[in-house]
Amino acid sequence: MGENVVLKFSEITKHFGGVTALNSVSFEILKGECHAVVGENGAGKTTLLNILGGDINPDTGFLELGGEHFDQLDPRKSISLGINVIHQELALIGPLSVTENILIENLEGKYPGFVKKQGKLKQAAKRIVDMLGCEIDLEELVENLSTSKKQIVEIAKALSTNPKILVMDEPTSSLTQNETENLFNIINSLKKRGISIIFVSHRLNEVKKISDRVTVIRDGNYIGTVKTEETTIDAIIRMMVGRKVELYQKRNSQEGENPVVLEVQNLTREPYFRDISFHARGGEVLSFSGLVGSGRTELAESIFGFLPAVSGEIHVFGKSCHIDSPQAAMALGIGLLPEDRKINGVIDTMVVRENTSIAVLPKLSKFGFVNKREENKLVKRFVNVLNIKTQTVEESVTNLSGGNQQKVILARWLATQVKVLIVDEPTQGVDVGAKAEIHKLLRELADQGVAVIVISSDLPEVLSISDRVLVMQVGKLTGELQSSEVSEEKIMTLATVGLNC
Amino acid sequence: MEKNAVFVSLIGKIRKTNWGVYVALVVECLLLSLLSPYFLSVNNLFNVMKSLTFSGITSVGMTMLIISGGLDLSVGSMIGLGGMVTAALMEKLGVYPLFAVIGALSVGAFSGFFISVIVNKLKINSFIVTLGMLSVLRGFTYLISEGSNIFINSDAIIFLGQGYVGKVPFSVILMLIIVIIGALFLRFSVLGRQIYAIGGNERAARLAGIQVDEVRMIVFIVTSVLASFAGIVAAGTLGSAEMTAGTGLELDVIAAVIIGGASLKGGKGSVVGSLVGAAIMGVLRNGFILLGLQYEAQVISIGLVIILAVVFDSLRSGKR
Repeated sequence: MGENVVLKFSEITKHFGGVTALNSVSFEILKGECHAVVGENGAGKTTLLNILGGDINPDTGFLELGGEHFDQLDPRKSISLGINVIHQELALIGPLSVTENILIENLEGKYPGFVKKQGKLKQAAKRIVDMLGCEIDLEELVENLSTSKKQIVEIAKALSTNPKILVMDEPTSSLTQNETENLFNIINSLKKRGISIIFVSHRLNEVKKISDRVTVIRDGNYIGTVKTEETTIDAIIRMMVGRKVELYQKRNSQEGENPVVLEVQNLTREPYFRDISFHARGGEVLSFSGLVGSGRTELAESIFGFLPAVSGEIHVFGKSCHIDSPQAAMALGIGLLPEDRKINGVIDTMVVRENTSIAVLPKLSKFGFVNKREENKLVKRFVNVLNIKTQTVEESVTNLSGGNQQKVILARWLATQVKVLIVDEPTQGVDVGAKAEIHKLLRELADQGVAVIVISSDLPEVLSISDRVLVMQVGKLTGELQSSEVSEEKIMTLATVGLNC
Repeated sequence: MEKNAVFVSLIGKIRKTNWGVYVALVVECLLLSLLSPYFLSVNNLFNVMKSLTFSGITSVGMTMLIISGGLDLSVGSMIGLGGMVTAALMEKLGVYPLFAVIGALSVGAFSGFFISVIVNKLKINSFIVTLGMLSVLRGFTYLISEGSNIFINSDAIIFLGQGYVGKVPFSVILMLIIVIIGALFLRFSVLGRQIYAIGGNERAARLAGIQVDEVRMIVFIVTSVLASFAGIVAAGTLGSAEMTAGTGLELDVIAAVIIGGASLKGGKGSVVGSLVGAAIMGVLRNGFILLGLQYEAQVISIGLVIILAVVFDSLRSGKR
């Protein structure tokens, strides 16, 4: 093993039944580098991470660390070897405090079986959190924190185990621009201390910014490793996908004259948002941009009747409406594809067909009984149109990749023939290929006359699909931009006007 | 590709059907038929089925409830109350049997409605609410009974519990009809699908436009009404409404539903599976009697069976 190599993957192979998740994958991680691993969903990244973390073991092949070979790990051993994996689904303990979560492995003090003194615990936790450069109340219960703060606690927890290799799986998915910058600063300082970072992300612009080298995995196979500064995002995408993908093309339009489908006036629900007024036309894609926590999701949930607003008016096709439940919203032709599909969208005990048809079942039934034939016809049609990759519609929905699950939920709403579709972070945790497909589908939906409202923190995404962009900050609308005048800088300015961290 | 798809979905269906339960029942019956010459006699088999009817009928509602993510610990008490209300209405108020039955079923409906209001509006766990109702309903049963069991003098009600159609006990026919209706409803109706959705992911179900509170209310009402009906059948079987009827039966019913493949987390389960679960326990109890085993052994063994069933179920659903 070379002087500089801290970890080597050696011909790692893993099968799950008949599916080959990893096929003889070999590459090296150098000491003190930030090494990105990219690949479409289903490429094998998660399996690789699970092997690193000791959750599963390879069928053949091994990991090489410090001259020793390891083909059988478990989570404890993995951590003791200096490998710490921070998963995308955070593994924090809600009812415990930030301090307790950070030091969960290290609570024992001088007397065995007894926890360190509170003061000492707080000190230790504070040291780590200060390193991360953000304000967190150490006493606060983790379950009360926002997702972005939870992620920071998760990273602090990993740091408390003094890792040699820190693996981060989609770490920035819920972080603000500032918090991401902080994270990158931390990554850089960790590198200087000789810690290697394995950075798994779908956000290629971030990969380009922070990583030293990038390894691409496709369909379980190792495709190649390149030096980040010697490559381009397009080149990486091509390696990931094996074909050229037109991901981000800018739109260039002025607001058209299509009929106003949805009009919102002075909508208020303290403390989430106040005095929101806007209109959405059929045939256009209207995006809501802003930092995490700006109230966009709550606004969407209010329009959808899930969390009705306290004051203000909503007009659909010119008629004033009182939307006090999702059923009321659906009856008006409004649909909501929520963020966090695992929590809010996917019913994991059901198959693809059932997940797709669930919102439109009453229309597929006679005398209260489901017409199986109609249901199958409808579901198969959408599987086709949306290009949902699944063996059959009877497949358990959890077997699908993230991008395809998202398409299933999208199909759920398209089946209800919405006139207004609100999508919240539509490509969260979705791979490049499916991302482009979803963008195309949203545009096509708009072209059919639907008013498409997109909530997104992914600025390139916002730029490429929107006709208009509304920016929110801490519950208020701070500005509107036409696609002909929009830019990432302008959006960020409107999103952060007057804010600190 | 299409042939492959059909094969995959078939495998999926086979894996999903908890064949383990059916195998367990068959094995159990085989064992008992070897251990006792009386087991396979027509008489005995029908006796076993008769003993199942109370938990069998109640389990149809309980299955739906558990699938939706809820629980009702008060069904045992409702069985007692159903029979008692019927008997009291007839004996003390001179009400016609038909109206007495309607009265008892209405009491069931109201109890279910009441529980659902507390669960829906106050967001209190159904376990706790129904634990309380267990005592409340039993209390009302004692109250109405005024301290003694009440004889059933109506031939119609007696027929419910003791009558025969040919060689088959009428109560068994009733149970099978209810099971079939319940199974068809759960599997093929829109409401049935929505019950599964709510149990699978309540938040997602709500966001998909399902009226969760209303569906839940229906399920609680159905459960209590069926329990009340089972109590009427029980009173008919014994010839009198007993103050203690149904005591402890809620555990049998819940166990049957879990053995049958339902998950306490919700989203899974089947009415037929629950019936098989009830049968497994009924056959076990029958076996104890035929083999002359002590009552204490019965109680311990039933408990062990329940634990085994839950363990087997969690192993079957794989590592999560």
